[in-house]
Amino acid sequence: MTTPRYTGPFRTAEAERLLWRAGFGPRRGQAASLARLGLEGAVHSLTHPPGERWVGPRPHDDKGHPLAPADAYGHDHLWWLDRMVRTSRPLVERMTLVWHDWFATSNAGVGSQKLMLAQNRLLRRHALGGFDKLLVAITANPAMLIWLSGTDNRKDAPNENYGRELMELFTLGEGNGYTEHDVREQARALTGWTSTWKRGKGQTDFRFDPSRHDPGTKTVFGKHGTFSWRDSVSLCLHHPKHAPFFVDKLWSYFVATPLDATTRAGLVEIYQRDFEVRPVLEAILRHPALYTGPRMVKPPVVYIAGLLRGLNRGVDTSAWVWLSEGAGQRLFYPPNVAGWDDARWLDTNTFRGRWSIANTALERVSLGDRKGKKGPKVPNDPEAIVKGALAVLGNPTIRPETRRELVTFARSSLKDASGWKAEAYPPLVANAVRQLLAASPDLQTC
Amino acid sequence: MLSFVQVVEKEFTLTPSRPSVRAGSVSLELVNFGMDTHDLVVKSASEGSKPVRFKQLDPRGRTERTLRLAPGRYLLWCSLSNHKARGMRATLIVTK
Repeated sequence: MTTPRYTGPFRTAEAERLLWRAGFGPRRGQAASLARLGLEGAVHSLTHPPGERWVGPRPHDDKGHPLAPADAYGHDHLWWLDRMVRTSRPLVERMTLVWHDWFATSNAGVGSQKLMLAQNRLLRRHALGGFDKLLVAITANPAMLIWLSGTDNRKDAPNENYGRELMELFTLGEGNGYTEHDVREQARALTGWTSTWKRGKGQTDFRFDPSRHDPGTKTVFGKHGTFSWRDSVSLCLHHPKHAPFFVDKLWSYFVATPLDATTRAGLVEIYQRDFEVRPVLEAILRHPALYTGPRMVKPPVVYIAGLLRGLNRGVDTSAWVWLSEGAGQRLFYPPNVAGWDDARWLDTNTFRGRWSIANTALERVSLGDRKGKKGPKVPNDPEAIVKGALAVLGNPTIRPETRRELVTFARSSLKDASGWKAEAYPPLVANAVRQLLAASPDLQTC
Repeated sequence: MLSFVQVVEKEFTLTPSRPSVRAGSVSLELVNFGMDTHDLVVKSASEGSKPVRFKQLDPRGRTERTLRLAPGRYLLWCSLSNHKARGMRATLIVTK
């Protein structure tokens, strides 16, 4: 069974959407280059990227210091944001973000940026690989073991935390094909993980200790066996409800509309061959719904990384930490184990955060006199001002009505610009147009 | 060059993000991931040294100070109540 493929034109606008959905937006000229590859070539280039090659200035904090992601608050967020900005493998980095949301682990509960960074590396290693391998690895991951009480799960006192979320959030969906009895039995199967507390080092030496494991017979999904933690994972992967859950959830990160039955069946068939994520992603990235369907709100970090990529600017301020938090997304601190809610990125509070993001992104390129030096001359021309604003932001595709509104705004702002105002007003209007453009619905969505 | 160390406090543990740091300017950040108030005292193990005290932090609080640290062994602890006795102490080695 094959899944539907987009057969419409694959021009700059379509390539741009693909780069936003499967990455963090285009660098200047990148959408046009990708469009020239055609849909198949473009999807292949994203799902089979060459070795990583960082593009752009190295990151630093406000005082010019290199980042210390394990040792300074906020530097973990900046370190990852920098990867999103400079990566030449955007889909790998975007899938790392997907998995961070899927297996949402918060440093608020782990208490170690070092362990969170190690988890991040694990997610990246498995970004486009086998979900089966990723699930095994994340079950044994120290940050996850702390977060969902894996090391507190003992044969004499089973802790159901991880066993429940393994099914509810990671593999099957809430109440979808499992019972409370399965939760209890999975908890028994997952016993045995432990760590050693060393003063001054925290929890270390995470390991499976057979003497702490419940070796008895368990019954999970109606099957009987002396299941251990690997069996627990395997039982979930081979559950008949897993593959449909998996493809629905993965699809929802890339396409705004729900999966239709035909496409679901096709994706399930691809996925069930060998649990590999890459071919499922390829089918999703080729699907007509991605190109013709409604737009999606960009998650805050995607919005920020995209602005910086379009502006050719690197990570050069710690402000991105609190600005991203203000828009509702602090990396390494998802709100809870269910991750971020993609349906709730925009409200009156978070929009203020996004407005501030746009402002901070543009402040380094704002027009006007600086420190006694005269700024570049800005023409008293609404069309040229809008064209200039688009160029600064990497020439994103916008709707004709957005362009009209910006030109109308510029025209009405300049209508009294005579005398001394003729030179003073245009840079102010140009800065305002840039801000309005960066904060417009066209650039908040993709 | 500035080095960074983050000290995470919870009930009842105190964990630096690294066991050692280079001598010189060190940005020492205290983060309270616990549910109680905590503080931090940093003192060189050398005789006669004066302790550096961080202010008390409420849960989810964070504070940072840049210190000039000479090579040696430094003791870190929470001075509130019996927190130190219960485990809120650690050692930081400052290397040349």
